[in-house]
Amino acid sequence: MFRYARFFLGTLLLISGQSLCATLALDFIKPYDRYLWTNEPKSKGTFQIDVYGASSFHERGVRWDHTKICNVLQIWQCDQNALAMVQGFDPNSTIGQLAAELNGISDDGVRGHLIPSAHFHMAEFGISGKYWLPHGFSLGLFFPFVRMQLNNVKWCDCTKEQTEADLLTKDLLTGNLAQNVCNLGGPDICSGWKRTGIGDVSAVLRWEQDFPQSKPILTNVLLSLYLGLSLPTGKTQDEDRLFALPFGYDGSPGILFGGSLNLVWKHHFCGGVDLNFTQLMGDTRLRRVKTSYDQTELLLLAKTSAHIDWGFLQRYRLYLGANNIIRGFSFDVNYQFQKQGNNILTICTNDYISTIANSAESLKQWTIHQFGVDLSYDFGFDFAEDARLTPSIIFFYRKAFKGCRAILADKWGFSFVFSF
Amino acid sequence: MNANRVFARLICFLFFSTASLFASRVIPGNASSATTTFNFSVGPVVFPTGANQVLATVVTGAGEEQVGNTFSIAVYSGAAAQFIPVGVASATLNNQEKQSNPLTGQKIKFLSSCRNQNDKLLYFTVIDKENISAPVAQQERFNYFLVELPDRTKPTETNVEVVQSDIPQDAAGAPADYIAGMTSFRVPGGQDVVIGAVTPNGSSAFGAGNSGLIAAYLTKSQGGYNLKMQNLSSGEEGNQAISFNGSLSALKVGSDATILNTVAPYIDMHWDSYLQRLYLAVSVTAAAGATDGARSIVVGRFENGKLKFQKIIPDAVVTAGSNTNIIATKTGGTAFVHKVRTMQTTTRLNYLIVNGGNGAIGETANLVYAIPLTNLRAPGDETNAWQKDDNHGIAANVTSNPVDDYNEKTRRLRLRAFRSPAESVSQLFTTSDQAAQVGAGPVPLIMSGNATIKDMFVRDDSVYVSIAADYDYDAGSSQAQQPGIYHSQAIFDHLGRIAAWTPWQRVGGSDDRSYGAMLDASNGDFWYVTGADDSNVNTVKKTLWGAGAEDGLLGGTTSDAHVGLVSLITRQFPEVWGGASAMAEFDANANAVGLPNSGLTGTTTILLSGYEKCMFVETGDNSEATGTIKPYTGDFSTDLASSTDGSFPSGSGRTFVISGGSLVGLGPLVTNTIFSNSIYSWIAVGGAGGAAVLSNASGQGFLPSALPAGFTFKKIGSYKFVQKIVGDGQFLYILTNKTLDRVIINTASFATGSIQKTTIATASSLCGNSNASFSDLIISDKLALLATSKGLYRIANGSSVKAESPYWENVALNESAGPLYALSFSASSTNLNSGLANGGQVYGLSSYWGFDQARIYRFYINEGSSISDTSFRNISDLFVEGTDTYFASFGQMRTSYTDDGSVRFSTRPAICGRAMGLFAMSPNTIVGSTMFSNTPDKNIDALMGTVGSLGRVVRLSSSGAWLLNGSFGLRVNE
Repeated sequence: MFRYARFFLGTLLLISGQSLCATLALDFIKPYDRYLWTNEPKSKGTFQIDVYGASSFHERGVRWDHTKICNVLQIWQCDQNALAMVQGFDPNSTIGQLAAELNGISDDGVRGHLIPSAHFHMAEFGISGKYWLPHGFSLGLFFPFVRMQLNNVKWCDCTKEQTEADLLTKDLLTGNLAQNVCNLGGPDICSGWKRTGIGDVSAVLRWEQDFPQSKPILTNVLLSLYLGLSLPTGKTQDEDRLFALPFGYDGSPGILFGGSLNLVWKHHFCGGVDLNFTQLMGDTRLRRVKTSYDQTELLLLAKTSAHIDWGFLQRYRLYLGANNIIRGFSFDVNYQFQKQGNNILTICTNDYISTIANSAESLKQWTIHQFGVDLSYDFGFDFAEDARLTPSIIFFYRKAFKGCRAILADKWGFSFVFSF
Repeated sequence: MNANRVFARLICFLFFSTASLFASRVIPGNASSATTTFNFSVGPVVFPTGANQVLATVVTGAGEEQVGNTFSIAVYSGAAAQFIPVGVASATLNNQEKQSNPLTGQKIKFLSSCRNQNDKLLYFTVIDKENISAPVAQQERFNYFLVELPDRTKPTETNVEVVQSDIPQDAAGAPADYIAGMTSFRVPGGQDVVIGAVTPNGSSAFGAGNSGLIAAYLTKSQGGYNLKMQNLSSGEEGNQAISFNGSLSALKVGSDATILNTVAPYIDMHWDSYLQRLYLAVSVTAAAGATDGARSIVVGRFENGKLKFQKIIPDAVVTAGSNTNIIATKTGGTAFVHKVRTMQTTTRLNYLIVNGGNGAIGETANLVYAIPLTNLRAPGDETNAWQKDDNHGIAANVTSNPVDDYNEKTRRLRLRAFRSPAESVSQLFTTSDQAAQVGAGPVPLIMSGNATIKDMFVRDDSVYVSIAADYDYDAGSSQAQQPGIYHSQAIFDHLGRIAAWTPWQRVGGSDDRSYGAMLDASNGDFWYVTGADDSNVNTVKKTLWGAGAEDGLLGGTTSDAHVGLVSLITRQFPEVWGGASAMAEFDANANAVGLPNSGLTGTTTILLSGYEKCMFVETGDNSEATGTIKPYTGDFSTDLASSTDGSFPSGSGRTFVISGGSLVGLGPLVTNTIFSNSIYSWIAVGGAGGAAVLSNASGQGFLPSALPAGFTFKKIGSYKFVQKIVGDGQFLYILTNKTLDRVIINTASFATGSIQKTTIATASSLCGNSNASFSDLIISDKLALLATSKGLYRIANGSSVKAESPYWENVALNESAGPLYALSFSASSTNLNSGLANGGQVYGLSSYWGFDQARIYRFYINEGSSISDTSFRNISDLFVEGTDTYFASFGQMRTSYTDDGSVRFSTRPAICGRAMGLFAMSPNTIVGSTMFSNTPDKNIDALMGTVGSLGRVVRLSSSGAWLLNGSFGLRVNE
């Protein structure tokens, strides 16, 4: 069994390593994760209702090299290039005419460069239902809700005022950047925003089975496999707002699959690994794209129909813990790693060049490493065995400590689970 | 002192240490002095070129006998960075090893080189047995030599091989007394040949009796190399010359002409490998009869080993008319042609370039003419009938239009040529035709004592001559004389024909006497031979891009770079404030409607400007002789005068720095100029914060006789982002990024700053886009050209830039990058109204930052009496039939373009992820060639750094040095 599990894990790692991918470099609560439910299979005909909530704090960004902790608006570049913003457009267009006026202005590393910063916050709430079928199968439906907020947006203009190029850049671009960007068809880059709405609804069919072990230490092995579908019900990225991230997989349906292996020692102590994978379907819609290699993510003026092939999403969770050590009290400590490879854009018009569009840093691989603690209490221990409703409560805390091209947000949350 | 400062100083030290290596330099030879190359006087010199006209090496021959001189012939070795000797004591002689080297200690009469089929350089020479203390007749022969340097650390230890020919024999088969001329090339059929002109047995006079031409073919057998004599009359192996004298039918008309032996060499030969014709130039006197005449150019072609002569122009044309043919004369007249070369223009047409003309040496030796040649090549014709056609390679009908030949399928241009030969006098240029007069007049050389130019060469569209003479002025002929290398550039009309030439302009960055020179057009470097006088020609120099530190020119004195102009500008315009953001050069041709000039009689100047500061520098004067310019060199810092109140400071130095006063608030000054009316001249500057004019309290400018005194800058108008200021004698034109204003030159206005202006164009209305902008401007009499973000605009037909409300129209630029960013021009005269308005070449740089692209367009201005469709046209640059388009595409963005006909510099700032750079276009780029994909331009290391901004390459009129300003200050090629 373990040999097959290693083979399965190795194959998945290999596949994911070769794929190009990425959606949103942010940790969302995945309500179908096993730790948010019960630690053991339920009998046929059991319903579970779960209500969960989570809130982020200490949000910050990390750039490509894992070590550069930065503001969330700087996860792709440390500064934004307003000079490059107008490159790559038809010279007869309004933007092209502006670019022509800036002809010959060299990029000295500060001219036309602006450092953005803002405060980002995210809260999640969700409700889910799960029903146990025969033979260890269960079917779950998951409805997440998300609230995101970006405020205190600031842009620091690095341009000096010493050369004509400096003065012209300020006059034409950075002196009134927000208005200029808006006039040129770019997003609203100076206003904060609040967005609330449903996330991507998902449906998961899970099979799990206990394999009791008659060994002195290892007393049980729990195997679990799941297959599901993520529906594109969540809000998509708002291309006309600054950093308005999607509430799910940005309008793309996805196939969810994975499994877990849970080992129980001495009936109470447990450890294991959860493997979660998502293959998203490509999606075509209006997107902001790069028109020049030097452009930076937050100052993209071109919006065009583009198909995106999402990278493969993978998430691994390793944990160690104890079940029901004081009546229904359980806990675990865990490490979670998330990764998405490069996304690939295919521009559906002849206006821009896909190769340039695909040089966007935001399309490249991102990763997040987290450390977490989960505490739960199953009130079923305090109820009569024939109680029709057995609630559980779960508290969790996650500390994002490393990653690349991602938002690292610490998070706390809870989940109430009612089984009946 | 903290670590950062120590590091910064270390970097500065390293930078200037390195920079000093890049000054103009003397090439080492055998001289013990660092200021000379050889310890003897040099005679002949050749500059073989390699692919794309890149200079391959330099070969010198001794101009005097010197016992044991191993450098009697010297070849420059790039590996050793110095000359290496060919006259070493022991050599392989005629395939016998360790023989006494016949070249050692000899005086060299001729040197020549060519490339064989493997692209290997072949060298030929003739040892002078005639012009020595004890002449020995019948001893001169052809020598082929080969030199190798096994160890570059031992530059004097060379392996030399010499192969000698037999003593050449004259047209009667007797040993010729002397060799009078020599050239070498690769003939059709693939053999390497040296051609010699020989005097008759018993005479040192060439062109009389049994004088002739003889060939020696370089062959290789198992035993080694051989030089085999060939009879060019029979085409068989044999040591007998083909007759070449005054009775030659290709030379004479009617009775026999007389070939003159006025100035050696008495015959000049040039092989055109494209036309496959040999051009022979001699000086002749026609017989005295009314139907007698003589041609000074004879054309030769090879057929089955025979040399066939062709007439450059028909007999009837020689004797018709009023004896104004350039290369022929009649009825006792003399035609003196001292040098002959050919040119294939970048428009693909062929021209013959001759020094001399119809007249005696004292009348024509300082004249250079261009004559169009026929080209009957027919791509796809496998018979190659043109090779044997008497009408191929001769003087073309100058009234005919060039014929374009296109690929039958792709319609791509593959050939452009004059097809019709001249058949009447009216179909030939005369000595007074503007299109024929290279340099728009005489070379700066006074005709006395059989003076001649020392050397002449052609590169692309330009002709260069070397002058080794003292500064002088001849009042009788109003002829100035000044030493140096001079250059004239062809100006093409709308069909790609040469319409005019630019006036002679000094090049090379020095007024050294030049006895021979060559341009490495891949980077703009000149190599030249110089010396104190004709008996002491002992130095070979090379110009280089860089800071020129301690080069004794603009880089400071030979011991102190700090006082040099380059260092001074770098200090005055620090990089942190954008460096020298504008530079303009002003010649001494004071003329209110002339090319930008200093406004001072006999003084050349440059203006530099940066952040709220302007620097006025005198760069040369006429102190040596009237009409000449002696460039200032060395110390530009002593007695530097400066002011901080916006006034022009008084001082006795060469440099004047103005800051403060009204310049405060103007920000970086990105444009400057000197403009004049019929009395005064003013300095104007403009920048992001406005424009200002230097005038006295009454608004008057300075007079030609004196520098400004008591003058201050006064802000005029309320401008923003001034791009360019141009004066035309009547108006001052102020171009901002959004408007073009025409300002009346009025002293009262300049005094108060309240100018009378008329806005004659706005970017938004002209281009139909609120974001549209202007970037450059050219004014030429009635015509104005506006570079805009929507391409090029010109004054509309029937309108004038001086009209109350000028009308504009767009100039279609097929396949452009979109915006037109920069304009530059070459003019056939220093008078704008004639030289630019009716005989000007305009270069339009279509450049778009947004796509990182740039292309260069070329136009011809011929305004005529009013602006019309024919006033401004593309010069037929095209790739595909029917679509006039750009000349060359750079493949990347460029922000400036400078074209002198041979060297085509462009610059780009640090953008789109690439470092800033100075580039030179591949020299052999011609119309219809895909320069970008085949031979991309070359990035020149001028020690500028990688980040910053660049100005435009400008040639200093006093010394001919190339200058480039930028955020780094100034860099020079001198």
